[in-house]
Amino acid sequence: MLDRTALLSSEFLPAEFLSSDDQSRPFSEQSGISPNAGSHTRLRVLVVDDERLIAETVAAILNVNGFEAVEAFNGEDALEAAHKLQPEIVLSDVLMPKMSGVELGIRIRQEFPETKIFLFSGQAATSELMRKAQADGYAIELFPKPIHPEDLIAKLRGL
Amino acid sequence: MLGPLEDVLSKRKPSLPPEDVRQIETVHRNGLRLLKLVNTLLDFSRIEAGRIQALYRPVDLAARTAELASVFRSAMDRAGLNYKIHCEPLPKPVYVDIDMWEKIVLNLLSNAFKFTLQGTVELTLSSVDGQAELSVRDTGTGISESELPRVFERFHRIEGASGRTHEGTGIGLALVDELVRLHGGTVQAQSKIGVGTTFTVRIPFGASHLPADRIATDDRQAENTLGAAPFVQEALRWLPGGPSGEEQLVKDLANEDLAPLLGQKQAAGADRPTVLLADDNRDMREYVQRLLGRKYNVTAVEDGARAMAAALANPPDLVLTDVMMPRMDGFDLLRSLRDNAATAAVPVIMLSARAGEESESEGLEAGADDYLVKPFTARELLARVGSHISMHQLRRELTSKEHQLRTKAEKAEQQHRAILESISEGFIFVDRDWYVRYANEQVAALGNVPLSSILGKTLWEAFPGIENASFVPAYREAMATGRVTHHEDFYEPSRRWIHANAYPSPDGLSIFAQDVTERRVQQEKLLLTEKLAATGRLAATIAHEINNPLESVLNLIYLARTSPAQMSKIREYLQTAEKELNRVSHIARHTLGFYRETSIASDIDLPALIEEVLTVYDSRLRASSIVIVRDVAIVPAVRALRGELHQVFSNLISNAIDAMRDGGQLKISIREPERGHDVGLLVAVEDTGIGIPQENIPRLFEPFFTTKPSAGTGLGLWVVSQFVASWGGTIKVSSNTDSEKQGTTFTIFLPRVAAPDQKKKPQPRLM
Repeated sequence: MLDRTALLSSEFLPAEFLSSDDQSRPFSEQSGISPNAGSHTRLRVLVVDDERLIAETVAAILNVNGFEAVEAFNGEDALEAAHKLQPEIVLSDVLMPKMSGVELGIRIRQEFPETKIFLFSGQAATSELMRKAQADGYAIELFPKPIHPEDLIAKLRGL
Repeated sequence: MLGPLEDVLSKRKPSLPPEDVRQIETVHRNGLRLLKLVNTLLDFSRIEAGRIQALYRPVDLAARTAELASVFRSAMDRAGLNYKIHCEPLPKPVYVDIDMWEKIVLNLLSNAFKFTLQGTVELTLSSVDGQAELSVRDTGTGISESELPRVFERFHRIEGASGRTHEGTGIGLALVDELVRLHGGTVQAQSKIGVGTTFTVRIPFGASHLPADRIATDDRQAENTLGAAPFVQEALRWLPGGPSGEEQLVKDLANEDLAPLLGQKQAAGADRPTVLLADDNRDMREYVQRLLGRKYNVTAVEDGARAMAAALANPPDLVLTDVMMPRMDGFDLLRSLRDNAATAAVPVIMLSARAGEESESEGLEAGADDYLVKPFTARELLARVGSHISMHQLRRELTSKEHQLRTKAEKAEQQHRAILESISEGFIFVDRDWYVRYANEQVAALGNVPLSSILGKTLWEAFPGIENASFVPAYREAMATGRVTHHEDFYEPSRRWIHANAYPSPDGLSIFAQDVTERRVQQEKLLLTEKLAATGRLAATIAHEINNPLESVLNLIYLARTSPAQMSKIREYLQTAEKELNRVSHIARHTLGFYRETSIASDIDLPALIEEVLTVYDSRLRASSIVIVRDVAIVPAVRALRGELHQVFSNLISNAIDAMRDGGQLKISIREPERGHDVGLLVAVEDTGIGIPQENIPRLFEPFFTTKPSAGTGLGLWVVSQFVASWGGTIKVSSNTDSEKQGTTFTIFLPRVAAPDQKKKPQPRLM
């Protein structure tokens, strides 16, 4: 069994990811792609996944494709980041410790009713959580993992 | 002195050790000798004191003497002597005191017997010169001329004479002399060493020579030859082998020591038990008749044919028969009695002079109830006759009662039968030797055999192939331990699943058998469905574990592809992607293993397998912040089906995760049981979750029982229990819902070999 803590530790990431002082935004800042800073058209996206690598790579991809993306690795941090970022879109994994993506989505929706929520999940088991949320009146869209970055970008742009 | 000894001897068999019996018999014998001596001396002193009151009667001396003499017949015969009795009817009556005459005759015969080792003893009574003459001639050792004049002296014993015994008081002949003189007669002895001795007694006819006041005219036929007993008894003791039956009878009668056996003399009448005696020997008939006549109605006949006729005319309570008889011998009589319904149950005791175990077993084999070898004692005869008659009466009584009881029992049995036939279950009763004593139609149907082919056979014969099913050990256990057993297995010959409950009793085993094939088919279906569902759920779990790294890989490749940055960065993206792909392949390799061939048992490292299961649930464990604690010993491999083990521990771990929504600790313990216990592994899955309420625990392993209606199917733990049972293992659960120490522990005992029989489907044991 692989040690996931080791996998997610800094040595597995490209060095440039870690050169930034701002650990919350390593990819977008260091990817070498100029972000379209200040543009009103740039959608603010909060990317949440307890798999750091996913959160970081997704945020990096979005940042080079005209979004302003920020990543968070759990629900609590995500709520805090949302207050700073005021995201138009929250993209979150479903299965996370302490606070699931569904819970996070509901909390975000309550605080930022305009914010769109996208969940992505690697397994169908989350459908139970989804049904529950929908039954409670929360329209949450679910993407399956893995989703190809181009498809994700197209989905987000299509909003 | 002798009375108590008799008492002891008559009760001896069960209570006394043989050595003590022999000693008491010796004392008894010497006691009898002393008694005889004392009595004789008393006779003398009475005679001399003139106190003996002789009473002279006219007696048929020939008949009387012949009868007396015959008492010695068997002793003489047994000694191999040629014993001749000639008693001619006398022309005139002879007046004698019967008791005294007895003593005269018997002393002379006793003396002749004692000193005649071979040859002849001849008693003759005849009329000679107007007198009755009794002579007793023997071919014995003889008496020397010097001794001859002194033989009638009191206490004179001839030294060196070779006789049967050195016992002797030297008083017998002196008494004879005295008694003869009292009768106005004379006694003489003639003898020659090596040739023999003759004693001659002469008594005048008539009564003119006797005192008139001592003459009795009544014709008292005194109690026959009772006084003969001590003489014959004594004579017989001189023979190797001891006294024979008939003499003993006389003696016993005389001494009246048989009172306990004879009991109260019963008045003759129809109420008395009847004994039929068949013996061609007149003496024997008379003695036995006299002995048994006090208590029983005795019919005596002289051969088997007459006995059979008498038995048919009036079936007796007992038949005593000699073996050797003219016309119809004892064995033929026995067969005829047994062949006839009216007499078949009558006890038969065979009497025979043929000694030896051979003839005894011959008699018993022929169907006699008992066998008495002559010589037998009166005690023996009375005891055996008494016991057989009372047994016979008891049997007759029981038979009539048994008929009532049987009627009752049959009625009850019919009711039970009706019940047993009407129940839907098969019922079978086997005795302790496994013979089928009762079976109903349902059993026949279950076994797919006709009912008629079951009854009277052993269980194994009745149900061929049962040995291959696991019922047999369960039945044997029930029979051996007296404990009820429940068992379920597939019975191949009828292709049915049978659930059997075996109830032991002192008489055997009652088995109730139920066809549970339908239920089993449903269970099998359910199990299969659940297996597929579990597989599906597991696939979803695994999918998550695979899809996450794939997502990362896709992103990294996209970044590498679209990045304008320098090659070194691109290479780093790709290296990270490669690591993620390695992760995917690791998970695939370890978690999808159980999808491979699962019907072949293999040696499995259980700790490693449980690690694989934990890998599958890694995301859920992390998502629920569950800490894993391992307490895993170094344990040997178990032989099992990988897929089954995987499913069991997946279900348990998944359950534990469900119970710990708000985090907690999952502890996995694996160890071998304490020494002396079963060979296998003990695995505990312990969570600190919400716990199971006590009232739910008994239903925990029931299919469709769930406390998580929105999430669970209620099959998880049922599947676990089914598999564990099929391995021959056990599962225990303990749970606590108190907030302080809440949590649930499942403990599984997994046998070293946990693979079920390949031919059969898993067979749950009801727990």
